[in-house]
Amino acid sequence: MRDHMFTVQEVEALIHRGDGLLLAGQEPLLRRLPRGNWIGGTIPYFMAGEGGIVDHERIFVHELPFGLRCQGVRRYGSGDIDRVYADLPADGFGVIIMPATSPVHLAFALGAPNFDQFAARPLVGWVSGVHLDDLGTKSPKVFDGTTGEALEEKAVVMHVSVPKGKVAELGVLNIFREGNGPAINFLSSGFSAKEVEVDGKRQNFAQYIKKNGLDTRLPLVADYCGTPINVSYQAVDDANGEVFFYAPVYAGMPYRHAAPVGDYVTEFTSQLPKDLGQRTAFSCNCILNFLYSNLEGKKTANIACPITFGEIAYQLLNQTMAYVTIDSV
Amino acid sequence: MQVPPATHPSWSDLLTGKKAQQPAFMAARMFIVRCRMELTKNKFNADEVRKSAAQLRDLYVKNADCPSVKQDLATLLS
Repeated sequence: MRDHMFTVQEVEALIHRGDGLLLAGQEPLLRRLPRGNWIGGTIPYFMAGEGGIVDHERIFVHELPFGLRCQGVRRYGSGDIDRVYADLPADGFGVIIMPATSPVHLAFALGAPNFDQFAARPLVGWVSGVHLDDLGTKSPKVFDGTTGEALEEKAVVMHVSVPKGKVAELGVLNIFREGNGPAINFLSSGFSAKEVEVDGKRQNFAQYIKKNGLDTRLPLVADYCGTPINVSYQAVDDANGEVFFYAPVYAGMPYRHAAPVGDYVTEFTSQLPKDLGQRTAFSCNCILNFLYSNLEGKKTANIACPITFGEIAYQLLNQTMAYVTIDSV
Repeated sequence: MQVPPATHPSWSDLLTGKKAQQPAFMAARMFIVRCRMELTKNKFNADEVRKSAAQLRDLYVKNADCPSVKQDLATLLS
């Protein structure tokens, strides 16, 4: 397994080499880096060679493997993020990082499936965050390495070209499946909900969760033609009868509360496609999997990646590992 | 491998759910779900289905080298 955790000095040397780099780490570390072909986002949680870690001293590095090349870096705000798919290179893919709770994060989360050229080319990436002790005092950021700027309200996208004879493909690994409970239908799309329809009966969702003793560490799951897609619970406000999510729920899409899972690492390893570690150019996994499954100190096969506040594989995902593989044509 | 024309019934069958088999290509899965949410609103209007079928085909053309696209072309769309 390649080493992914590097000191600032070591990352400086990689940047000077000129290759495209995808970085994750604490803000003060990323601020010290020279300009170059890199993008980065703030986060101190990682799955590394030694297992799940919280690291304030080193930077996680995805070096572009397999002859992939950085074709440039673009930035998008909430006003122009709808161009993100249309701008992707015809011979490659994009890696996007956006700051959690920023306007561009919200615009992408709600609107992506309706953007021009949605899913026409692979778009993978993650939502940057902060150490959980710093929630409310520090803001998540992304970095455009070509200028060295830290950005709080923009997404950065690295355009990556794939050499002839190779092809990039996105994948997700989600251990959660729809449970046996009834379908839950939301009356409007968004990051929160008060009223839902369960078995055709309209009711308050917060009360429904309480009455049925639902474990909100398990996500809501929707069936996307065979791919289970999660929406994770952020909070249940019993006083106001409102439930908040880390990704939007969509009206017209039936959701079910996820079935319980046993041991995360066992489930994860059993679902991991063979040789994935050798074919992966980039991956990320969710902070909720890290927290709820106590992944600190544990290994998830040979997968190394940043632990993030949201994953992107075409659209925003929760409690999922997203990855891009490079295969020969 | 040839990508069938937009008029091939498999495209609209995937969109409407008439074809029960699921595509292997993840982009298609996500695109189909997005289309179904819209198409349900306009009761699967024939013009809208045709338009979405052309867009779905375009996804396959643009990603024709992907292993999952090849798999779908050989099984779902032959």
